[in-house]
Amino acid sequence: MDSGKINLSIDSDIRQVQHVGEAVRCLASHLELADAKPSSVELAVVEAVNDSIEHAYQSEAGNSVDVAFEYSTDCLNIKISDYGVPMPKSIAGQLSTKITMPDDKTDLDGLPESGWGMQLLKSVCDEVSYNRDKSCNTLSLSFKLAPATA
Amino acid sequence: MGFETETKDGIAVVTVTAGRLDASIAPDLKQTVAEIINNGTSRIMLDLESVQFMDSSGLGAVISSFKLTGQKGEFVICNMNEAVKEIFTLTHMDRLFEIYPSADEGFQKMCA
Repeated sequence: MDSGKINLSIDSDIRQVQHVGEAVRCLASHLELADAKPSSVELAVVEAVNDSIEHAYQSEAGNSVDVAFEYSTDCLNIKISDYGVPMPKSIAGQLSTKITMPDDKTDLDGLPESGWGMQLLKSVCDEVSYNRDKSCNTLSLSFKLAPATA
Repeated sequence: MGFETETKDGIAVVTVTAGRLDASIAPDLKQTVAEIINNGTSRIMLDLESVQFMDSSGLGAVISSFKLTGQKGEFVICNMNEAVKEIFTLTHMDRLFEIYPSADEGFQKMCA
């Protein structure tokens, strides 16, 4: 498989997310990922789609979330697009800052119960970027593929 | 609903029977744990044996469940598969939560 592109689309219903997650994991399992696992690709896509539904569409069903799965010889790129409100700066800002996870001395009672999605997404992807073009939000995830062996 | 609960020796075992602990059922986990605590049990073991996938909403529900048990309560997790373990490792939650490889080991530890 040298290159290819597959487009998926779901309704902005949180119950639909598992279908796109499972499809992406299945597709990724046919590629030789350099560092990530197919389950990590699924996690990243699920987090991105959840973000589209919960933030861009304010958890309202009846809107479209598009997932474009595109691979070449050295890279898997996945673009998640929606047509809702722009990603909040507080979340978009996390994409360009260093990941900070709790240390061993962190008090569990003080841990946040939300806000882990972008951190997890950044942890498993090789590159993440966000773009707003006209009314379309696109989150691009990139995973390196292992070099082909002769 | 995706959960089964059983109380033994004062310990409530919450078994997630759904294959995915994600945004679609995370609120139900919090509600299940809240009901157990309201009924007077604050020692809880969360069994994740059937869970093949967890997202950040599932993780948030686990953190919330822990907090609900309070200072005098006890909250342990058992039976994680590799994909779920990865979430805990990436977020360093594996260092903060009490995690056991099996329900038997978790139960024995809580009874000790």
